[in-house]
Amino acid sequence: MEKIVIASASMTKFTDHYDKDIRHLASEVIASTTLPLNLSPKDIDALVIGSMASQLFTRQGNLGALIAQENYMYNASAFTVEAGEASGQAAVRAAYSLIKSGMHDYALVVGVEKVTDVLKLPKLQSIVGYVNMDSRYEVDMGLTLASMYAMMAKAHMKKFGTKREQIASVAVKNHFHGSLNPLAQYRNKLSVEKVLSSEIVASPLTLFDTCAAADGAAALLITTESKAKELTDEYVEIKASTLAHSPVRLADRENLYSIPSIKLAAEKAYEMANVTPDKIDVVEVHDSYTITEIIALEELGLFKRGEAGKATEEKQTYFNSSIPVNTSGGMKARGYPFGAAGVAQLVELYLQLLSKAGDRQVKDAELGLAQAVAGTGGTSVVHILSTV
Amino acid sequence: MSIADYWRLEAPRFRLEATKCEKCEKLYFPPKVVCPQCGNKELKKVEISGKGKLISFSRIDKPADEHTYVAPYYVGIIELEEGIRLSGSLVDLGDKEPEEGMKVEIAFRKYYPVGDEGVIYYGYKFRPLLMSLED
Ligand SMILES: [Zn+2]
Repeated sequence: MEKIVIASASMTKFTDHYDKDIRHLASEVIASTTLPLNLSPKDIDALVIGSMASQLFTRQGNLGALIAQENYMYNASAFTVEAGEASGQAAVRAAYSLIKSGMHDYALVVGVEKVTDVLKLPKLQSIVGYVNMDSRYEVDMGLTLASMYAMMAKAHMKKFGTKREQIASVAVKNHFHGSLNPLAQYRNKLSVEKVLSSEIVASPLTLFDTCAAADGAAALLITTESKAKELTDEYVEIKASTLAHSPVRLADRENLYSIPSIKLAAEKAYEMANVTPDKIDVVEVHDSYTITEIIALEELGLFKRGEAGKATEEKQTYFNSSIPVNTSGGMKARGYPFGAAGVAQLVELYLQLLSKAGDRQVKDAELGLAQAVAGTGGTSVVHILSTV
Repeated sequence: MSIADYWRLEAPRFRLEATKCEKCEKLYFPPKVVCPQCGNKELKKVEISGKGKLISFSRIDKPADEHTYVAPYYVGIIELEEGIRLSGSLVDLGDKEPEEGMKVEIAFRKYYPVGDEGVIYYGYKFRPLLMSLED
C-alpha cells in the first residue's frame, strides 16, 4: 500500500502576535509550507483547520472558508476540526484520512489559534474549561482544568511517591529545550525552586506548572509518497494516526493518576505502525501542565507507571538522553496556541526525523511519536512518524 | 447558560435527581434519557442521598471568570454513598483545611451571577457532614 507522508512543514513563532489576525497567521504558514515545493495554495485540494475556540477567542467561525478566501483556495475542501485542546492533531488525523481514502491529492493541515486578544487569565480559564471539560457538571460548579490536574498530581504523588520537585522538573527540562529552539516563546532557563515558589494557581500547581497564552500557526502538507517524490526528496512517513476517548468528567474515571484515552490511542498506534514503545527515538507529548507530561509518558508505555517523574528528574528525557521528550520546548516553552500547538508537535518530529532540528537535534532519530489530549483526557490523539 | 438550560438542570442540581435503568440495575448521575448498556428509554427517576466522602481536593487561587467573586475556594471530587462520584465546590469549612476521606453532604448555594438581568444560578455544593445523633 502507498505510504502517506508529510512533504512539507512550517510554523510561526508562538508568541503575542498583537499585529496579526487569525487569517494572517494561517496565511503565513500556508505560504511557507507550499512555496518550497513550488506549489501554489490553489493546487491544494483539501484544507483542514485545527482550531480550538476561534469563535470564543476572536468571534470568527468557519475558518475553512475564511482562510480559503484569504489564499484564493476556492476549490479546496476546507473545514475546521474541533476536539478541544486536541484539535490540532485531530485535524492532522482528518487530513491523513482524506489522503488515505484516495479522495484528495494534497491535504494542507493548518493549526491556528489567536489567544492573546483575551487578555485576562480568568476569562482564558473560563474558555478552556467550557471547551474541554463537562461544562454543566464541572465548570459551572467552579472547577478549573488546573484544579483537575492539581488533583491528578496529588493522586500520582500519593499512589507512586512522585515528588513535587520531580513534577516541577518537567518545566525545567522543557524550558531548557526551549532555549535551544529559535521559534520558542520562552528561551530562558528555569529552576525547580522558581517553579515551586511561583504563585499558586490550584494547589499544589503553580503558574510555572502551566502554560502562558500565545498566538500562532503551524502547517503540514500531507500527500502520498509518489506525489511527494514529484515535489521533494525530503519527507517523512505517517505510520500511525489514532484517536480515542475516556470520560470527559474526571470524577467518572476509575482513578485520578491515569488518562485511559492516551493508553487506548497509543496501543492502537503501536499496532498500526507495527512498532513497540522501546523503538521510539523522539517524543512530543502534551504538557499543558507539568503533571500531564508525566502521566502521558506512562500511558504511552515509555516508562512504567509511577516512574516518569523520577526519570525526568534524572534527565532521561533531555534531547541528548535515552528518551528525548518535547525537544521543541513543548507547550510549556515553545508556547501553547491550542490548535496550532498540536500541529507544531508534528512539525518538530518532521524536523527531527530529517535532521533539521539544529541545536536540539536528536542523534539518529528514525521513529517519532506525538500525543495530544483534550482536558483531562476526554480525547487523545497519537501519531507515529518515521523516516523513509 | 440560557434560562431553558437552567430549567433543565433544576432536577439534578436542586434535588440531586438521578436516573436508574431497572433492567441493568445501573444508576446514572448526571441523569440520562437512554441506558447506554441496554438501550432502555424508560429510566426511573430516583433521588440520591447527597452524603459521601471527599476523594480529593484542590484550592483554587486563580479561578475562571464566573467564580472570581468567591476565590480562593476549595473544589473536590466526592464519592456518594450510592457509589456515584461527582465534582463540586466545598463550603462551610470555617478555617479548617479539607481532608481526604472527610465526610461531606450536599448544600445548596449560589454558583454565579449571569448577565445584566441579575439572574443568579444556584445548585449543589458540599459541606462537612453535620454530626447526627446516631454518630
Ligand atoms: Zn440498561
